[in-house]
Formats: sequence, structure tokens, C-alpha cells
Amino acid sequence: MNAPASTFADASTADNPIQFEPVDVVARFENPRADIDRDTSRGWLTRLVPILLVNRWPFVIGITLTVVSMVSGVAVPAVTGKLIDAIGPAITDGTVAALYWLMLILGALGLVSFVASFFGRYLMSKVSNQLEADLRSIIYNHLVTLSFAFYDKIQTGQVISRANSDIRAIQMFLMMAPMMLTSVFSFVFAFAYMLTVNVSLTLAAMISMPVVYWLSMRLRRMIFPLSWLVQARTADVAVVVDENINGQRVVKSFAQEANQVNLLAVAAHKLQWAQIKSIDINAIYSPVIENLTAIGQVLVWVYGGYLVIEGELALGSLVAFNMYIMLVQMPFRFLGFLLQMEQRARASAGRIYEILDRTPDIVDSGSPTHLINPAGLIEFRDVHFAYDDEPVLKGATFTVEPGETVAVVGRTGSGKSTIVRLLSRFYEVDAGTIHIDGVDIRDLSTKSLHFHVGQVLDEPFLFSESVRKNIAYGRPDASIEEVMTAARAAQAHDFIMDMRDGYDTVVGERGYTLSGGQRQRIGIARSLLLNPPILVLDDATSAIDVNVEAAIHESLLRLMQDRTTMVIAHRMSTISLAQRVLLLEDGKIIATGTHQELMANEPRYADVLDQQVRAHQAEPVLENDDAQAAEETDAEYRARIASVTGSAPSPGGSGPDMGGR
Amino acid sequence: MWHGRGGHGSMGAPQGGLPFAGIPPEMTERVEELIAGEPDFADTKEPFSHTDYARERFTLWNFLAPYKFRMAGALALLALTEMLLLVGPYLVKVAIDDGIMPGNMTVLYWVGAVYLGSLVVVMLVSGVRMRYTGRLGQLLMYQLRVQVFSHLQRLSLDYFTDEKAGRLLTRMTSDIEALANLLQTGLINLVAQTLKLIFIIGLLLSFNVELTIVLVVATAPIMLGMTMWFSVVSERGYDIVRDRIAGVLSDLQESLSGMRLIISFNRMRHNIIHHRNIVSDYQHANNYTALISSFYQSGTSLLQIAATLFIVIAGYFILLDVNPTLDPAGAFTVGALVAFINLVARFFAPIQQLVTLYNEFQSGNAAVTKLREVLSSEPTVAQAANAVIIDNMKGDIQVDGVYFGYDDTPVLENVSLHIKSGESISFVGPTGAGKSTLAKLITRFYDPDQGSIKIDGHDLKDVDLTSLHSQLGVVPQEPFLFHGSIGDNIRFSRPDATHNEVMAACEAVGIDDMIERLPNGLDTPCHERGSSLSSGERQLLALARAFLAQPRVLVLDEATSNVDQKSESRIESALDNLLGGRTAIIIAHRLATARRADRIAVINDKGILEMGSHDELLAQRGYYAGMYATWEQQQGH
Repeated sequence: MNAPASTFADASTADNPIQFEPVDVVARFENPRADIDRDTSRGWLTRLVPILLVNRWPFVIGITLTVVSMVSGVAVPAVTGKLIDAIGPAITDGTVAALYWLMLILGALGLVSFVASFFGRYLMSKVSNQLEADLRSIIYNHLVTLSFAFYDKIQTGQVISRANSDIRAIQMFLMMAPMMLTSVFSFVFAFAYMLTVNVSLTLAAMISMPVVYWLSMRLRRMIFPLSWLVQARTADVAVVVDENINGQRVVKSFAQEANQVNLLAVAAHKLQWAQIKSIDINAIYSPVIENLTAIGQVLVWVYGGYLVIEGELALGSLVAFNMYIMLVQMPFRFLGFLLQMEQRARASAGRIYEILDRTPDIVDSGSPTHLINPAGLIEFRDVHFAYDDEPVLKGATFTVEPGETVAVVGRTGSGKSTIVRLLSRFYEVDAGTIHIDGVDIRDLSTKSLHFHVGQVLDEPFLFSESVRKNIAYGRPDASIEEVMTAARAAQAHDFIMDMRDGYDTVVGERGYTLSGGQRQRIGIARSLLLNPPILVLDDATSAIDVNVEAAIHESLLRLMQDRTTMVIAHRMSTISLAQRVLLLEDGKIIATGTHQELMANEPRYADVLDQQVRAHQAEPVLENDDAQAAEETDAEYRARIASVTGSAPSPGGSGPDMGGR
Repeated sequence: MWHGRGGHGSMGAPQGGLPFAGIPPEMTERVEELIAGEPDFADTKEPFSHTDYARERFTLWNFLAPYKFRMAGALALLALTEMLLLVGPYLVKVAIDDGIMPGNMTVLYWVGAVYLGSLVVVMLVSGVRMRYTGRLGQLLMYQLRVQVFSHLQRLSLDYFTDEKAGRLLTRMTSDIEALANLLQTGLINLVAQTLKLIFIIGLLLSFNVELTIVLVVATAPIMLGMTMWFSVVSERGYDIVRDRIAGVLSDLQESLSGMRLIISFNRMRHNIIHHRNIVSDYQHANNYTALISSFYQSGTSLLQIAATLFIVIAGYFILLDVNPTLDPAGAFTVGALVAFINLVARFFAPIQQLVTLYNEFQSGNAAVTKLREVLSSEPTVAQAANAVIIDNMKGDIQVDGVYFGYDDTPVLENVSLHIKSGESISFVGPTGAGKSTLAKLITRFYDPDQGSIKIDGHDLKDVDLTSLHSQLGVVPQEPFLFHGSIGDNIRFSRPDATHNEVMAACEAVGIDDMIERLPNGLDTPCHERGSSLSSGERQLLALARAFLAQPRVLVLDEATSNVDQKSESRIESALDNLLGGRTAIIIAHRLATARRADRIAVINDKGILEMGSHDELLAQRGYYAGMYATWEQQQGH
């Protein structure tokens, strides 16, 4: 298995034989057809216009139909009133023609209103659902372009909340607003009808409306924060319950049952308090708001009855008039609600734009080259890097030869992980350059770079999918045999086979719980499956059992021969895998050489190792924990370290290969 | 690492399924104002007992029996409101027939006055009714929460399996809510709406019998059928919507947590397509519910128009038949017809409501059944009737011929072991050999199938659970942190501990300096189950918690095996402080930890394979010696 000479292909021209991006899913739906307006100076609604415009026809038709249904709905009481007026003459004079016509009109109105309202509502909902889905996709598509630096700072929960309640708030507004605005149409029509019937009667009918508006606003303003408090208190109760279910062992082992019952009682009391408070406010306002319209109706009946008696008004008009009162009150009840929804939607949109307006800080250069099967020569040239304002690397320079295995050793926080993360361009260097096979990684396509640099991160995250899919994460088309070979090399095969469904067992947050060591082993298998020419192990075996670690080391030794490997580790056993050690201190590589050389010539190396490794060495027995005993063991330990100098990692060992490139 | 995270951490945490994502920032100020007026309920004292609790069968009737008079009161108020609301349509008929048609203004004024009066009474009565039933419902809900939660606390550890965890949370949240809905509004409304329907039909009958029959026979079944269809179909539709949005959010959540992997494995395109697929599935589920609710809403208004038309036609023929002179005092009048038309909408409302209420009743009933399941479960590790309270436990543990298995898989067979007071013992051996199980038997989280375990000479089964557990301290492998501050979490084992005692515990495990560096010190919240702390820091907190309890027997269940490098050495030295003079059981992967104990028990193949001090076991050249050799080789090289 010999690594082929490195070749580079121009991204824009070459027919690249390697599929860098694994895609193992069939797109069942098209992507959003439009993006939001990227001009941050625009208003929140304006910025949504492009994705609304894509749906303009269903939207326009939906609005039109809704207006039609509103208008025909408004005509219904008028026709009903006329119908009532027509009954008298029909019976007494036998003039039934008008009656029949009116019946026909009423029936037709009903049908028109039904069809228009059905399709209108449906189309409007469809458009707003489309908008919601597009917005979700746009956010997601943007999230995957952001780099490690972004994810170091965000709280997952907050992004989820943006994706959940904030998108919901916008979608609600976009769905309700047109419907409510069309209800203004019915208001206008109804109001116009009422005015034509009788102006003073209209005023009498409207007398309670401003009060309805004012009270609805007040009610909402008081209820709204309360409903949030109720939600928060409900969540608090759920948190207590959830924790007591999942942490029941802790509760029991400290005999805290009674205290926890009391804790729940307090949380339940608080929820009860918030609920009762909102019940009380509702109890004051709602009955008044509900019945105020009826007061207008009473006035209409008395005054309108007088007008009918005086012969100034037909009885049917009076009946219709009463029905219209219900229609005209709607905008007064909902206008305040709409304003409030707009406020919420605007605030929500602001939070969503905050994510969408963040520009990705690591992007491919204009014409990147693809890295293809590199030999694996790594060069760091005077690399500087700082997290925010905290400098970590201050001019790191080193070279790793193709096929070499190098351990990076340094104190906690010295920047070991940073070095390997910079290598994959997860972060951008502040100054200096990093080269693979002589090419600045910033001139490479990040996809080809990631494809060839396999990283086993220190905290292996598992997705809630089967073990097989987790291992085949980077190459979903891998056969089960390939997956098993990788798992065997990572010493994961046996425990996987012991699980209920073997390789089909679902793991991760919503699946089977694995120990830290088991997770790490799956993480290693995941990277080994890709067989990358450059492999990075960032503290990848820290939680693994002693015996198992030994076995993994054996397969790693075998596998590392043909690839460039960088190892970060604290344990002697892991460090000893490397042919060469880079000693990192104060942001620079201060020494390099074999373990033995450094032990012999570099006192700072022994110091760092001492600090790192001590925890894993034999400790004083419990009874002798006085200073003297500790001193002695320290000395014992130094002696042991010195004796290690003689033994070198034994390369070689035969066995099945991971397969070459 | 500690992250000083600001914001509204105190306001509840996200939950599974549809998360409550916290109060939006623009609302926080107003909510904080509300919270300022919220009582702290510090004097809440809910009694709890392992043995003494109501064991009667949980049924709706049994649960409501103590409140039957209050329920009746609520019902009376509701019936009164509904009746008063019908005064209006009746008065309209009177106004037309006796006021407008004969031209009698006095009648009209009276009608107006009575109508206004009835409205004022309606407002008052419905206000009172809302307060009354609301409070009653909330009281019932509170009691139910405490009752179910208390019973959960009584149940033994085997009840809380991973697969059950989600369902148990549902019992305490949505099931109780479903039941509360039923109690607060459902049951009363069910009766009230039925009454309302009867009143309306009665009123209609008084106007005209034939017309009423026409309305009831011709339109009610359609409305009923439509509403039933809608409730079934929409419920199914919303189930799918809930499922799919949960899928969307969990995919997003997982993507965010695993973003570093997505980036380094170039999975962006795959994940974008996958996410688009599930988002679109969710969108289509939404479209489906929009379709049926558009149909239902438009359909019901069509039905109302049709019913009005129908009544006008029928009313016309009836008028023609019985009152062709349109005499306002006749058997059927124009006023009655108008009142009829006005009542059509009110006639449909209770029909729609009853269907909804019937569903509410069913889900409430289902909740009762599910809650009954929980409440009737007996703890498998039950406290004896007259259990002994051990005041000053010495921690002498005698295990005699113990057998134990989960379901049908035997884990321990004939295990005997004596741990002397103050002695420390390590359990080592391969994963799954039963180390943790033995520790769980000794701490009486489970009872052995056979054999006995005695502490200070008392059989565990005869010991008061609270007195036993309050003198044991268990530090599990995954340190569980509760929502709240660091101080709360340490104080968990002894809520009445003073600040100084807590700080002393922190000092003992070596996190005092770290806590002092935090701007909020002990009050720093541990967010999201402690995910902002490193695993080592979490572990140290768990050790501090155990230290604060000053237990007589300490069990460390792999408490140091899953810890990052930085904390490892600190934990090791913290152990020295913790163990001093206590009976200790240490389950450890790392031999460096295991060999600290006075004695080591190698547990393998359902029993104790070897036991003795480190040196003795090495001399035996058995299993332990082999393990140790491998380990030493690893360390040394």
C-alpha cells in the first residue's frame, strides 16, 4: 500500500473522479426557489418579499377568493332581511316572484361564499406553509455554511427556539394578516349597508365598538405576558418531573423524596398562581367584551323598532342590521391582535435575520484546486491564531513528513487541539500559512481538504441513527463488510454485536446509551472507514478501557504506517505510538524529536509529561497519603519514565489491511 | 469550562418534543414584572411517606367525589349563564310581535330594559362562573400533580427504565392536562351544552313544532356528521403535524450538536437535502390540516345559510297555512320566524361543542386509565410496615448467599461478602459482570431474589428507607445535575446546609478555587443539565454533593471513569478526602483508582472470582494479576 503521488485538479475544469460530498438521500422536494432579501437595511417584511413573490399567483388568487367570500358573506344578512320583508306581501298579496328570486339569490350566495372561502382559505394557508418551509430550509442551508467559530459561541437551545417559535410567529402573522385585512372589507361593506339603511341607527349600533376595541387591547396586553409566564411555569414543572425521572437514582440515594415532592408542590403552586391570575383577568374582561355587542343590539332593537313603527324602516332591514353588528365588531376585536402579532413577528424576524445575516467566515477562494490523494506532507509556517483576543498560537512552525506519525505534546490549553483544527481549516489562521503537499490550504477546496484529512474529535458525537449509519457517516454507500472492518480495527465490533440489534441498533441521544469509551471507539471507526491519507486523533482514546486501548493501538500502529498521522494524547501509551514528538509551549513548537531524544535532552518535555501523565500512573496507597510517601512515588514514577526511554514503539505487525487508496 | 451565560436561565428549560424555547426577549420585562408579584410559596409543606398513602382505585368518580358539591355549584352557575343568554332571542320575538307589529313603544322599552338587565346579569354571572370553575380546576390539577409525583417517588428504581422515562413525563404533563381540561371545563360543559341544546329546542318548539322538527331532522344530523368527521380527521392530521415538526426540530437540534462532524465529513449537501425532505413533509402535513379545516369552516357556514334558507321556505309555507293574515297574536308569527333564524347559529354551536367535548371526555378518560396504571403500581422495593430507623449507621455490610437477575437473565449467583465498618473495597471486572448490580443491591435500589443483605446486623428489608438512604452516598458514573445553581446541586444531598458547609465540601473535592473565580460563585446556574460544565467538573460537583451528605457508606459507581484529563488528578485527590474513615465501595475501570481500596473484589461470571488486597491478588497470579500486568505495560511502555 503506497500512497500515490499527490496530484491537484482544478475545481472548475477537471473531471474530478472522487465524490467529496457523500449524498445518500434522494431529494423528494425542490429547494426553496428564492432567498430572502439580503439587503439588511430593508424592513423585516420587505426582506421576505422575494420568497413571497415566488408564490404570488396562489397568494393573489387566495386573497381575491377570500375577498369574494367575505363580500358574499356580507350580502347574506341583507338578502335574509329582504327575504323576511318579502314574506308578508307574498302571503297577503300573493306576490311570490320576489320571494323566489331572493331565495335563489341566498342559495347562490351560500354556494359562492362556500367555494370562495374554501379555496381562499386553503390557498392562503398553503402559501404561508410554503413560506414557513422555505424559511426553515433557508435557515438550515445557511447554518451549515457557518464555521466552528460560530458554533463555539451559540447556544443550541436558542437556535432551536428561533427555528421553532420565531418562524411560527412569522408564519402566523403572514397567514392571519391577509385574512384579517380582508375582514376589513366586510366591515366596509357592512358599514356602508348600515349607513344606507339609517345613519343614526348605525351610530347607535356602533356606540359600544370603541369600548370593545379598548377592552380587547387591554385584555390582550394583560394576558399576553401571563400566558408566557404560564408556559414558563408549565415548563418548570416538567423540568422537575423530568429530572426526577432521569435522576431518580440520585434522589433515592440521598433520600430526597420528600424534598422533591415539596419542590414539585412549589412549582405546581406557581403554575396554579399564574393560571388563576389569567383566569381572573379573563373573568373580568371576556364576559364584558362578549356581551358589549349585544348592548348595541338592544339599542338597535329599541330605536330601530321605533323607526319601524314610525314607518321609516322595514322590519327585514332591522333584522339584517342586527346581523351586521356581529360583522362590524370583528375588526375592533382583531385589529389590536393584529398589531400585537406584527410586533411579535417583527421581533422574531429580527432574531432570524441575526443568523441569516452572519456571513460565513471560511469560504473557498475564487478558483480553488481540489486536493486529490495527497502524499501527506504537512507544513505549518509561522502560524498565529487567537480565539477572539486570546492568542493561542504565536508562530508555530513545523513539518510532518508523508507517512510519519507525530504526537503533539503540551500543557493543557497550550493549543494542541487548535493546531489540528487549523489543519482542516475549521478556523482561519490569523497569520502564517499551512501547506499540504506544498499547497496553501486556503487555495484548496475545503471539501477536498476535509475529505482527505480524517479528524477523530475528542468528544465523539453520535447521531440518533443506527451504529452502521454512524460509522458510515462519511461514506454512506459503504458495505456492511467495510463498516465491520472499520469497527473491528477500532475494537468496536464485539460490543456492537452484543447490542440488541447489532449494527442496526439506534444510538445517540434518542437511542441506546453508550459509554464514553464506546462512543470514542465508534468515532474512531467512523474516521477509519474513510481511510484518509491524513489522520488526526485528538485525545481520541481518553475514555477507553486499558485493555481495549491496547488493542486499538495495535490496529492503529498497523494503519498508521501508510498515512500521515497526528496524535494528541495525554497518556504515555498513546504518545508512544508516535515516531516523533512535537513539544508545544507558549504558542510555538519549542522542540521536536523522538520521545527518547526529548527525554534525554529536553527538561521541559519531562515537565509537561509529568503534569500530563501523573494522573495515570500508580498513585500512593490510601493510608500513606502524607507528603513523604507522595515524594517517594514521584521519584518512583520518574524512574519508570526513564526506563521507558529504552523501549520504542514497535511498528509493524501483520494483519488485514484497511485497504489502500 | 464554565461559561458565564446570561439571559433568562431561570425560566424553564427546553423539553423534548415541542420545546418551550423560553420567553422571547421583548416579553421578558413584562413577565419579570409579573414574577415580582408572585408569592414564593416557601411555606409549602406536602407530606410524603413511603408507606402511608391513599390506595383506593383511581377513577374519575373517586377523584371527584370530595368535590361533588363544588362541581354541582359550577354546573348551576353555567346552566344559569346559558339560560340567561337565551333571554335575548326570546325578547326579540316579543319585541317584534308585541312591540313593533302592533306599534307599542312601551313594550319595546320594557323589552330593551329587560334585555339590558339580562346582559348585565350574564356578564356578572359568567365572570363569577369563570373564576369559580377555573379555581376549582386548578385546585384539582395541583392535587393530582402532587399525588402522582409523590407516587413516582415511592416507586422503585426498576420502574424508571429508559424507555419509560418519556412516557412518565407525559403522564405528569399532557395526561394531567387532559384530565384537568376535562374537569375544569369539559364535564361541566358537557352537561351545560346538553342543557343548552334542550333549552334551545324547547324555545324553538314553543315557537313552532313543525319548523323545529324540520330543523332538527334535516340539518342537525349533517352538522353532527360533519363535525364528527372533522374531529376525527383533524386529530389525525394534527398528530402527524406534531410528529413531523418534532422530527424537523430534532433533526435541527442534532445537526447543531453534530455540526463539527457535518463539516469535517462534508455532509452539508446530504443534510440539506435530508432537512428539506422532512421540512417539506411537515409542510404537506400542514397543508392537509389546512385543507380539512378550510373545508369544515366553509362547510359549516354553508350549512347555516342553507338552514336559514330552509327555515324561511318552511316558515313561509307554515305561515301560509296557519296564519295567512299575519296576525301578531297568531299561532305562528313573523316575529317567531325571525327569532328562529336568529337561533339557527345558536342551535349549531352546542352540537359542534358537544362533539369536541366528547373527544375531550375520551382523552380525559384515557388519561385516567393511564394515571391509574401509575398510581396502582406497587414499589418493588417496599418499606416494611414497622421498619427500623438506624440512627448512627456504622456501615458494617454482610452479604449472604445473594442471587439476583434482571428478568430471566441471572446476574449474580450465591454471592457472599462481608465489608467491615470503615473498610474500603473495590469491585473490578469486565463490563456487565454485575459490579454495579451488587452495589445497587447493597444500597437497596433492588432486592435480591434470594439471600440477604444486612447492614449493622439489620436486614435491609427491615430498615426504614429514608434512614438508610440518608446515610448512604452514591456517586454514579454519569453525574446527574439538576436544573438550578451549582450551590443548589451540591446542596441537593442536604438542602439545609449552610453556605460554609457547602464551601467546605467544595474545598474537600478541590473545586473551591474554581467556584470562587466565577462571578456568581455558587449561584452560577448549571444550564441544560450541566452541559456547560466539563464532565470532570460535573463529576467533582457530584463528589462534593456526596461529601456534603457525610454518608456513612459511600458508593462510587465508576465515578472516575469518564473524566477528562484535567479533572482526573483532582478527583483522585478528592477521593482521599471523601473516603477517610467511611465504608466505601468503589467500582472502577482504572486500576489506579481500584487499587486504592483496602480490598479488591474481582467480579466475573456472576460472582466473586478473587478477593484480597492488591498485593495478595498479585501474589495469586490470577485474573487480577493479569489485568494489572496489561495495565502496567500500557502505562509504562
